[in-house]
Amino acid sequence: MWWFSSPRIAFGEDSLEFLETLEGRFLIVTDTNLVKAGIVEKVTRYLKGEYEIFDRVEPDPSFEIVEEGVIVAQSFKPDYIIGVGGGSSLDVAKGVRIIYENPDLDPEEISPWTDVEEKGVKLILIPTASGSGSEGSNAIVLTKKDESRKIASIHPRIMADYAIVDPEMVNDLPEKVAAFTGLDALSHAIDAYVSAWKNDFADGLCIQACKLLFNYLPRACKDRNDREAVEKVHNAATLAGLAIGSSQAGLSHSLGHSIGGVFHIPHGFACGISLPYTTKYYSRFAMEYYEELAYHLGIQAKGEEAIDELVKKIKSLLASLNVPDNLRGIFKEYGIEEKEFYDKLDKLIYNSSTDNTVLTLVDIPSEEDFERLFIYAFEGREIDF
Amino acid sequence: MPKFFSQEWIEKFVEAVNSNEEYEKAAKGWEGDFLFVVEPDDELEKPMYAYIDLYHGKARKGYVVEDPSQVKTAFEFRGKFSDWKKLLAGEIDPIKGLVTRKFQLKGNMAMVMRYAKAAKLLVECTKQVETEF
Repeated sequence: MWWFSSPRIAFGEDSLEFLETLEGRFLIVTDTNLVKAGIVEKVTRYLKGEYEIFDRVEPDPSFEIVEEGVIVAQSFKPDYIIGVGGGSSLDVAKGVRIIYENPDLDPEEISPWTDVEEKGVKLILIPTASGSGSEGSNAIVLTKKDESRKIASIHPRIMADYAIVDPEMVNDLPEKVAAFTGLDALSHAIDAYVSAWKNDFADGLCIQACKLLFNYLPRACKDRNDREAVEKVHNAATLAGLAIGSSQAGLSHSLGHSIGGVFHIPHGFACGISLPYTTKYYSRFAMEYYEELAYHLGIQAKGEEAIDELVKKIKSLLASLNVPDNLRGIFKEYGIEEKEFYDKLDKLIYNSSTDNTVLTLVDIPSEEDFERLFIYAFEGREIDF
Repeated sequence: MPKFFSQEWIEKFVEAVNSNEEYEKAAKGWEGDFLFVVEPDDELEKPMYAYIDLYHGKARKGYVVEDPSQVKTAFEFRGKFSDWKKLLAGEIDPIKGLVTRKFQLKGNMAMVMRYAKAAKLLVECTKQVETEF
């Protein structure tokens, strides 16, 4: 037995108008930049009722931020909690709802099988980037700061009641942000398709998300006025989010969570740049799945040749987005020296090999293979092991 | 072939854990003992219990428990006999088994969430023991 779950999803232009049908008290969970940029105002103008804004969400949000949000919720007593933002704000909103309804639960104790109460507070998630897919998934990722480690979990009560996927919210996304969030979505779609938990309900979503991202992401990054491309990529991110809610993320995220936790580069870059390496390496365990996915993406070759073409296709996408296809390149952009990478390699290996995303891999790589994956991805070497 | 949850079976399981290098690495900071519980169903009349002491990547000891009220463990993992059989046969994914409530896990979940890989490898070790049900 397994589950496929989804929020009710309003999508397309004007889908924000759905908010006008709701009445009550609204707690908005977001970050201060989105408030200053007027993005949150695009939401509040539709609200019929009193609202409060909790805007302290940070990148790589911590368990402590969730607790701060819960204190605000306990004072304001919302009927609705609305997450507005990228994956960070949406994940914090998820955490605030579940802890607000279960005040005795330590956020770190949220496991997939933790018993929780539902007290009727509705969760609405409105993505302002096209990547995390958090609006469609039952997953939450929070950072344990003192361990420089991201901890991912899933729980049915983490799933939103409503997701509003309105391209209006991403029209002004900077090119770079559009690139790394889109790569995050691609990582979800590919990881979920080759997961040990892959299933008939999620596979189609993965294929469609991949098609949309390969076709439209370069256009959407180059020109935010390309409304068709922007909307297609926005939809693709939610499709991929729905897929990981059932099939789960995989190896690119094992590496990505580790890199992000240690070096704090954008999650989408960490996962997306890892993808060519994890695809080639992991195909030894999931050749049939990759071959099938490659076929749906228009690759006629079979076996190793299909994998090589898929890797080439991912690298071409990275190039079209002006994103380096190795970690050395992206680290340079963020001022991280080679020495620092090698100094922290042991930490990277340990965190990735014990990341919860390894649980849904067909086979868990050894620590030695994780080490080689990091080094090859850093150096930009072709996987030959 | 040792009978499921007999003293001999538990000792074989402890051996399997202690010879698993990947488990040792994944559980290197783990401290916490387990009570494993097999709940009766159509195929089993009385519950069965086993105690396993896990510490820093090794199983220090394991034995059959007759009266569970006499042991206090940090963690407890329980499920029906028929589901245990499926788990050992690889027909149930241990995490899916927990999510769908075929199995229950009690204890410090914050710690479990840091050692999820170790927990999965621990279950994998049960599959390495040839078992008579």
